[in-house]
Amino acid sequence: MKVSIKQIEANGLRCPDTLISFKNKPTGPVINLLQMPNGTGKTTIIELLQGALTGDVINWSPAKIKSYARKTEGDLAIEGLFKLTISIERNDNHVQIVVFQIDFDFHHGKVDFFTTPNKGAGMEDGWTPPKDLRQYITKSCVEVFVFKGDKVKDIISSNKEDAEVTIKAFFGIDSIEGFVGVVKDNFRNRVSKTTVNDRNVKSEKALLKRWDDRCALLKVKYEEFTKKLEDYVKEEKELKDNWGDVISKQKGANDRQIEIKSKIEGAKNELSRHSSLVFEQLKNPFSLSNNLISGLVTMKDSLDRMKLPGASRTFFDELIAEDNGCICGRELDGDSIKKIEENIDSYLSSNEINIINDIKRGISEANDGSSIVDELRSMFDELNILHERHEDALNEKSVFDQNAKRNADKDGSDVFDKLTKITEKIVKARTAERSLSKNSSLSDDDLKRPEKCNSYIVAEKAQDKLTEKIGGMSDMLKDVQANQILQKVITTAKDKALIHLKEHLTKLTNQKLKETLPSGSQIKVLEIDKFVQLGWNNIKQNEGSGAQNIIVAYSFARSVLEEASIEFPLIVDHPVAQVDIANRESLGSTLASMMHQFIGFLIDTERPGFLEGVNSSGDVHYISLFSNIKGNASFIDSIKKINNDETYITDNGYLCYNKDFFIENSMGASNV
Amino acid sequence: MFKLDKNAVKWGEGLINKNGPMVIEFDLYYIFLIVGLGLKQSQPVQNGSVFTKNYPKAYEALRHKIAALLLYTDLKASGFEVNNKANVKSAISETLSSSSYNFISDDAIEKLNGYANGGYHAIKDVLHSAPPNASIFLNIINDEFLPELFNF
Repeated sequence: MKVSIKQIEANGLRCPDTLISFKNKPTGPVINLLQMPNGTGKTTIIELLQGALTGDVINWSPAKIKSYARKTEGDLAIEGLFKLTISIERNDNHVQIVVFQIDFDFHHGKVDFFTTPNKGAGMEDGWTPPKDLRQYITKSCVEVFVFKGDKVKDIISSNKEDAEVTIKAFFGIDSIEGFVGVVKDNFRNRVSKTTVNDRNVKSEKALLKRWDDRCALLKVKYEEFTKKLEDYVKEEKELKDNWGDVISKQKGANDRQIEIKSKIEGAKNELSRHSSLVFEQLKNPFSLSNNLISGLVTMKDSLDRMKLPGASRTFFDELIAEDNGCICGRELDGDSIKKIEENIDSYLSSNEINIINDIKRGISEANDGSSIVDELRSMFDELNILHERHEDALNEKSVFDQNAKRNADKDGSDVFDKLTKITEKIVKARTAERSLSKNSSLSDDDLKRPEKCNSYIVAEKAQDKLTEKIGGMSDMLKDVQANQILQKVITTAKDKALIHLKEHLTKLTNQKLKETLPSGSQIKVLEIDKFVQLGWNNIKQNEGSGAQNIIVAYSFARSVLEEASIEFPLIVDHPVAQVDIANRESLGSTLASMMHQFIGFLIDTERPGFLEGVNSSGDVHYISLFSNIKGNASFIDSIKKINNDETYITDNGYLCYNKDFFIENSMGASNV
Repeated sequence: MFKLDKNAVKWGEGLINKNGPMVIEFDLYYIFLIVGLGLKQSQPVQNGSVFTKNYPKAYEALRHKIAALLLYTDLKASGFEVNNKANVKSAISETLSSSSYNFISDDAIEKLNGYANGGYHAIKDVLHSAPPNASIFLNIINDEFLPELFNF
């Protein structure tokens, strides 16, 4: 099944009224590039596209709905419309056109959602896409192919779980986890209804009740922090964009920022790679000190002198058992056997002898003159240098930011201060969220004190443990065992499926990387767990270059979609903002080989290098969208020279599909 | 059963990161252990939690080396000469275990736990709270502890 975006229509929203047609072809890829001056509503379009496709907009709060209303001279629009048209091409070449329509009532903060499931069919109330598509356009699934914010980094970042969340959503693992929850709830309900009149059972039930309350409280707190974090991250993203705008107004600052960023990334990667090597070397404890080696050699020499390990206990056991006499030929009489049996315990067993021989061999190897101690020391010296290099790069960034702040006007300087504050808030909220969902062991002592528990995961463990205990005390032992077995079967099947999928997706992603990255690139996926772990030759690294990170993220998304036998367009906000100019051209030229339809929301600072690369890659559809405002006067003048069939003009906006217009008129931060 | 004091786990949890260099709890235990053994500092684990029964796969090849360090440190700590056959033999019998996957007896693992706890306390005396990441931690271990280890 191949899904493509055909059209987007917007009216009365925080973007110009418009009707954008995106190009796609029955065969072969198409790249759609959309440029808009900053503040024209790029984020609005992407968010509504996601909200329409997933139907999630139905659950939005009135405040959120109202935030999409167009503001004209202080007045908010009363109503608005967003229409998304997609095409679905199935294996029989039949093409189905589906339309999602959102009617906004900004006055009441409400929406009416309609779906036209087939061309010519009538509109249906609600979100009713074709059944075979539904499972792939849930919120988590759509995030696989819509790249906004720091999504590329989130897939490879060790403190994020985006890769696993994606896999779980796409392949139904979430549903299995939900099923385990249902099984647990059902069993707990049954146990709580037991009417055993026993003081101990009653006391455990009372304790379980306290755990239920604690767990519910911790879950609420966790959800609050998750929500807060989501809002903070969104705010941070906007502030980062705004700070990017502030910087781009300062001469040469944008290039300098990219240069410093790449320096920091390089230093960080190098440091991370070398730290792993140092730790591997440190795992040979004999490399810790020369003094230790000489002490161990003395111990080994003593063992040799004492003829240890010497003969094995097994040798004497067998000598007696076989009854063939001594190896010197003498017959073993009762007295000799008694004597041997008395002393047999002073000999070591064969396995102990093997261990001692291994120890002796290890000591000899450590003392072979290659000086593993010096090797470790010089690796630590190198680590020190790399730390200094990383520190210098960070200081450089700090000086750059302070200078940029000094050179900015009051508003720009405020943006920087707000960004600093929100980053601190994110760190605090993340710490709280992590602690509320931390999985740690639960001792019998902990079980008695629900109020001391600060993690809902541990609270759930306590609920399970107590439920089983109460079940066992209430003559429900068989039910307890059956419940344990059922949960184990489901959980094992789920875990195995997830492991298998992760391994398979690692292989698929690496195949795609091989096809897409320039030959000789030293980066691959080592494993996929919570995140995509990058590295080379089994040495882990945090990330690759900006371009490599993007290709990894796209390749992972493509692999997930391919495994699910579905194709979606790749929709990307700021496709190459994190890529240095030198690598943009090659990335641009490989985009077409990655997916059948690419929709990139581009800003002016991304153009150098990227446009040249994209242009050489094949079929490109250039789209420019801007508001009818004074600041865009030069664009408005230029568009008048374009053929009518390449433009779409409304009261408040201009849309243009002309390639030359796109190339000659650069839109983004500079037009704010 | 390998055990770490709960405070030690809490102290070092931020150092363990899937991205390396210290990726599992045993990595933290190992650093504490080499420092404890190297300084001959042992402290019983009072408030411990078992985090693994056996050596994890990444440490399988080190089993005999860790056994050697324990044997060596114990002999030195007890003041016995390493060339006294009876002492050495009894130390070997007490430490090594032919039936254990870990190569050492349960009592010897308890001793390792004690040295790891001793190492944790020695490190905590210098670093009241853990550094922000394992790479910086390794650098500090090198600067502050490595020159002092096994000077006996």
